[in-house]
Amino acid sequence: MSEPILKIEDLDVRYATSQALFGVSVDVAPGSVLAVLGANGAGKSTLARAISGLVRPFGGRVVFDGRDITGKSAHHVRRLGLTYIPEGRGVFPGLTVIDNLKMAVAQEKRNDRAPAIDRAIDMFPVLGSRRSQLAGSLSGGEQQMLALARAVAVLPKLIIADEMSLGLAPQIVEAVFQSLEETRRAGVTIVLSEQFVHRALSLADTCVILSRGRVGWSGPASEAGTEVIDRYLGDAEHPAPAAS
Amino acid sequence: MLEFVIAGLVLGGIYAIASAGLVITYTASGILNFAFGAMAFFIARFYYYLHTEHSWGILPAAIVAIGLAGPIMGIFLYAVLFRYLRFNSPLIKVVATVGLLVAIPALATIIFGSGAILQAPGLAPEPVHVYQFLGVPITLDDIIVYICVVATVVLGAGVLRFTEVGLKVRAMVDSPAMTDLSGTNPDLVSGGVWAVSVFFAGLTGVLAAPIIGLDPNKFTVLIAAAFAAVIAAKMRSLPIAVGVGLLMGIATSLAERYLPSNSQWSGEIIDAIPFIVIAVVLLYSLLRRGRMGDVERVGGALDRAITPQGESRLAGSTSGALESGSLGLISKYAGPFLLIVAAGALPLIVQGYWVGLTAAAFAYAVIFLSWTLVTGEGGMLWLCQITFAGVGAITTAELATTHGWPVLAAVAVGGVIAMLMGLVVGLLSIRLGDLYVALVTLTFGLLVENLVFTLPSFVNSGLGLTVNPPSFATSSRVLAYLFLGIFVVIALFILNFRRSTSGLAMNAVRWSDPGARTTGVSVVQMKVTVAALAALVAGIGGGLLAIQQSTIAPGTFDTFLGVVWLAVLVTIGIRSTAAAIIAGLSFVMLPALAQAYLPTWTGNIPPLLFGLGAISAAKYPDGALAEQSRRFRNQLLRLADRQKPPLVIDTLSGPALADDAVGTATGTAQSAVAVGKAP
Repeated sequence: MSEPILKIEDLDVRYATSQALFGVSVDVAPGSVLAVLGANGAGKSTLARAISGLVRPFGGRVVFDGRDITGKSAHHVRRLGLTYIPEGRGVFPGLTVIDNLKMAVAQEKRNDRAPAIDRAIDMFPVLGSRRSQLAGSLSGGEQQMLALARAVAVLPKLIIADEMSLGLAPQIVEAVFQSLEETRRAGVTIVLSEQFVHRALSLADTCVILSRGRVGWSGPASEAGTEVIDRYLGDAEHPAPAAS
Repeated sequence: MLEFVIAGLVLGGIYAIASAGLVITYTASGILNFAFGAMAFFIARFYYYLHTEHSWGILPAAIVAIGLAGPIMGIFLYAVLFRYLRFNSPLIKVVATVGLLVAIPALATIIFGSGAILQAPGLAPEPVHVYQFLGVPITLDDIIVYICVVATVVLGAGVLRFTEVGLKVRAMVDSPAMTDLSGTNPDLVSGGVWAVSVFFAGLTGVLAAPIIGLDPNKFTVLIAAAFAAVIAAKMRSLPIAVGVGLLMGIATSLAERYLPSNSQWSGEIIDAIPFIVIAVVLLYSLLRRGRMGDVERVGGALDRAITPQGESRLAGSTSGALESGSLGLISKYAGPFLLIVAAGALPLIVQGYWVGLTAAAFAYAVIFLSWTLVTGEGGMLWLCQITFAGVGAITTAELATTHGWPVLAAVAVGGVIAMLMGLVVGLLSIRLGDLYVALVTLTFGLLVENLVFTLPSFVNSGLGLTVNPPSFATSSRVLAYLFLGIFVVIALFILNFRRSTSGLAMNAVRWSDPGARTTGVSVVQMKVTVAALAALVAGIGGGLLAIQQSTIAPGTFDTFLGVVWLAVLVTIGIRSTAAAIIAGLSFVMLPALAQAYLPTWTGNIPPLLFGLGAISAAKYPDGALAEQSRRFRNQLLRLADRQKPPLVIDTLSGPALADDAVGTATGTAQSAVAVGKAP
């Protein structure tokens, strides 16, 4: 395995007085897809937030692309090429679609911005017809498309996609996963936390299962068999159909 | 008529620029800057210092004062204060800016010297050139105001809508966390917004100085008028704020023209115009929707999820966290008890002049208990308790001196009248949310101060009203004990209220308004009751203060002074009855001690300290004293508990730990409860 693009060592995260992650260590190889699985409250979102700089880790180290980014602020991490799509619609609901995309490429060189926006809209044509609509008024699926478009417009090295299928209709979930596939084909490393366990595993190369803030199991996605999933996730592999 | 419209546009223009500055920072940071007037005063005073006192040219003085000092002040305050306020409760935000409102003029007096300046030049060279426009005389100062308003509107809207900087500001308003994730530093954007806001404050100040002079009180009144435009704009709409600001200026000018100039009421109506605007807007919103809506939301779900909440609410903490067993009870009540005993010994220890001051301190302590009730228990920030105190004082004087009532009965009636006023203000404002309560009570205070307290029969040619003490308490010492007794009775009532079902319901409301609603607590009814009781206490305290001072001089109950009182109490502790008595003693004794034993210039240090103390509410929401005594008590309990095995709580195995709940629902106070209750 080549040098990991993302290396997490012994990560501890606390919110005020309660600890959410205990000594989590994960490596992600360049160009691979890592699925982070776990029941509600296992620490999936916390892990993503700690990596992306939204919350400051209490202990441990995060190394991205050879640089120590532990405790660095989120905008700093983003400029290094790590894009985090937060759980529950990673868009600015009060801005228009085009303003959302403009914010996404605001850190690029001035001449690269328009082509980046065009590329994103080519990938998600539905956004082209909604340029001046407020992002908050898009449907759930369209908002996730916009969130992904915002991420891929800048061609990051790594995308962390947190629960992208949450609250979407099955067809839209399929479309979101297809977009993720395409993103991966463009050479982007993906860290994916998901409730649709089997769908996530079919896309992933490796898998980490979090349980109460600790790594319960980790290994190749193909080896995460029924027994492992049942033990750590219980019924989580069959989530109740969520309304969009 | 045109003449008066044009003239009104000057005052209206100043309102408009001020309300634009207020709306911009409120939208971008969720903070309504009550210190805007104080900032405007500071910059205007600095401009005066450079231009008039040190003979700088207009342009360099304006560039340094408005263009440099203003933005630097904004960035500095953002870096040390506003940055940390963003996700605090509206109450703390108001208290911190109110602290600034107290601290900044005190600082200005220390730096630039005291003394109100009645005549200050504006941005036009003196003597100010007068032009004729359609037969109307317009000064160059007026024209500069017009230009500034147009520039504010055009540039403001243009920058926000069409530039990348504007996009980043709008993005940050929408969600700071998402902005951060997009690679833009939200702190940089916010700092910039504050720089622009204080720039507007400075511009307002320098433009207003030729009209109102350089007096921090007048600036606060001016900005309170601009608040009316901000309320009409629902805090957020820049065009409405600017439009209403201009209209209020024109209305003022037209009222000056068309109301009979010989009637006393004309002047009062003119003073009341901003309040009329506020009343109309509030009544309209109440009738139409029942509430003003969700004004306190900042950012999105993500922003709230990554911010630990619940630990930094003013008056939000639950009492009785670690207290169990006899030691807990003793340690809880021993402090206040010893304090009362010590306070009771004070009139016996000190002599002469100082005995009278002790009595005054106890009267202030009673007034302060009013905030212990309304803010400490009710969780609302009322800025007009001094007005209720004034109502109590004036009623006492009128009934006792003019009509020959027994003086204590007069005090009681004064309290009841204040309570009725509190009831009306409460019914009007409480439904609308915490921020509106603070705004409405501040403007109400200013209104009563300008309309009622200045009536000729109360001012009495500057002599004020006289009050004689009750016949059994002609000595200051007896008076001090009488006041202390009344204080203890009210304090015991508050302690009892806190333990009662109503008190617990109020506690629930402070922690979570929707939570309390869903358990069947009538939030509005509770809050109105507490507010009315608090007004009663303030009215009684005001009556006592009037007895102690024996005359009510005009200006004793200025709204701005009431804000200083609040700062004193917040510094020491807003939830504790013991803090009220310490605050009373501090407020009276510190300046008196400074006056008696220290050089004159130190006289401005206590207000500065109180202002800074109120600002520190951002860090210690329960007040510095409450924080220290809590630590001390916990230390004692820890020592006593040493032999027991330590409690280890695996918080992750606790209930309700959904991914997001970890961030939102855990606060230190709640965890402390969990520790105390663990088996």
